[in-house]
Amino acid sequence: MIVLSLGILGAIILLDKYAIGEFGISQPLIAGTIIGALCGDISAGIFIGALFQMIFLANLPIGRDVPPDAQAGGIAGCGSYFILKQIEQSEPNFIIVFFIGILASILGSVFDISVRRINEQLYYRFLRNKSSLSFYHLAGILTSFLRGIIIFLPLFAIVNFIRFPVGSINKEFLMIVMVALSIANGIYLYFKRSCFPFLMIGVLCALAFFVL
Amino acid sequence: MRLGFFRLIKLFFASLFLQSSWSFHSLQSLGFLFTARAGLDRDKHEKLLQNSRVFFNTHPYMAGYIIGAVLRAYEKEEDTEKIKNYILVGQSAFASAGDTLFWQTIRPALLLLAIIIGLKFGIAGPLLFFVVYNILHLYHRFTGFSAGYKQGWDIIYILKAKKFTQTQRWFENLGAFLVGLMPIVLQKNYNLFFLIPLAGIFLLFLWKKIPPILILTFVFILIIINLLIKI
Repeated sequence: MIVLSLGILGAIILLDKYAIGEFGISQPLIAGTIIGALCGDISAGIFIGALFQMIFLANLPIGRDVPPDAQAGGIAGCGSYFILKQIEQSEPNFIIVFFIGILASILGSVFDISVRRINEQLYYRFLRNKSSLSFYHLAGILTSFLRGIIIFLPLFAIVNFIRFPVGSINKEFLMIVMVALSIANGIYLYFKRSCFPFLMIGVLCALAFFVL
Repeated sequence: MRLGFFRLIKLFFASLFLQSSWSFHSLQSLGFLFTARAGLDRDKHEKLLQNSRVFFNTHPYMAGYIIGAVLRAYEKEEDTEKIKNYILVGQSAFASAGDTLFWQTIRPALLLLAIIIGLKFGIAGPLLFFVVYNILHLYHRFTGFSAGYKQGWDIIYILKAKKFTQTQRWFENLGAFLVGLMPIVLQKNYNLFFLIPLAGIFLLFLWKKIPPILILTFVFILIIINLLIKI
């Protein structure tokens, strides 16, 4: 039941990526918070969401580029965490959560291309029947929703039914890698001479936090 | 010239679906027609649909500025070719401005803030991101239509306005500060020896435009090394 409900919830949240609104609720941090709140552990949801957000901070959807699907990755990571938590009744293995999230982000970009090709057919159909503009345009919401279902349901089913015999990762190590990745992403985005003093003020504040 | 309140509301809700049928060939064309139709009188719908082979692709939050100008042009019954040319110029300028302002500056800066607050204080971080980001995004979505309609094709000059440049500078500075502050999400007893070299390696990957999939593979290799060391 949790596989189906998280699959549908994930597909609905994923609509926010571009099909409806783009309010930012599909960003991994917000999606993680929502899934965490609905699964009864909001702080775990925020933690997993933040991990995936740090990985994909500089994931820029510019022009026609289709980068790895950060939103699908975050949702799949959070969903698999809560499925594993329900099965194991203890802290789930972060390697599986991480692996499922990354796999979903790759699958997400592959299916994104497929959805855009299907939408192309909708456009050609519209050109043949121009009175049905709303129908062909809004049918794109259905294709986006189905993309979410196709990504999440099989992944969540795998997490639910297959046991992975892998050792658990050190949480401290994972956090250090993710923070390093987010710092690199941030410097990549804000590398400007005018921003440099603010970067240094931030570094000094962080140093003060560790020293004091 | 002004857009009526109910027409503005209709345009706003239609614009929420601007990218619903995004495709490689037509880009946002159907979304553009769907939104523009919501703002035009019924007698102008036919002319708009005749012009349906116009290729439209811009930043979704900035589309209102161009669509507002297009509505004004249709109401003044301007030449179709002229409208197409203006759309072509306007969409690129607003796409570039929107990508830089929202995708590269505001969103990552607010997400960094939300991550730090979220990991330290819980739900306040995600809530702050959601509220501030949507105030900024909805402001552009809502006012774009009326500004475009009022100024016509001169709307492109709005990109030079202080509100754009200053907002961008402000969020760039905030983002840079938060990048420096980022290590505070780690606990004081963590071994931070590898943090700076690792960040340097990732930065090098990003600057060398290494595909994201290879960067993630590198992260996996690090995880496997960590597991082997533990064994």
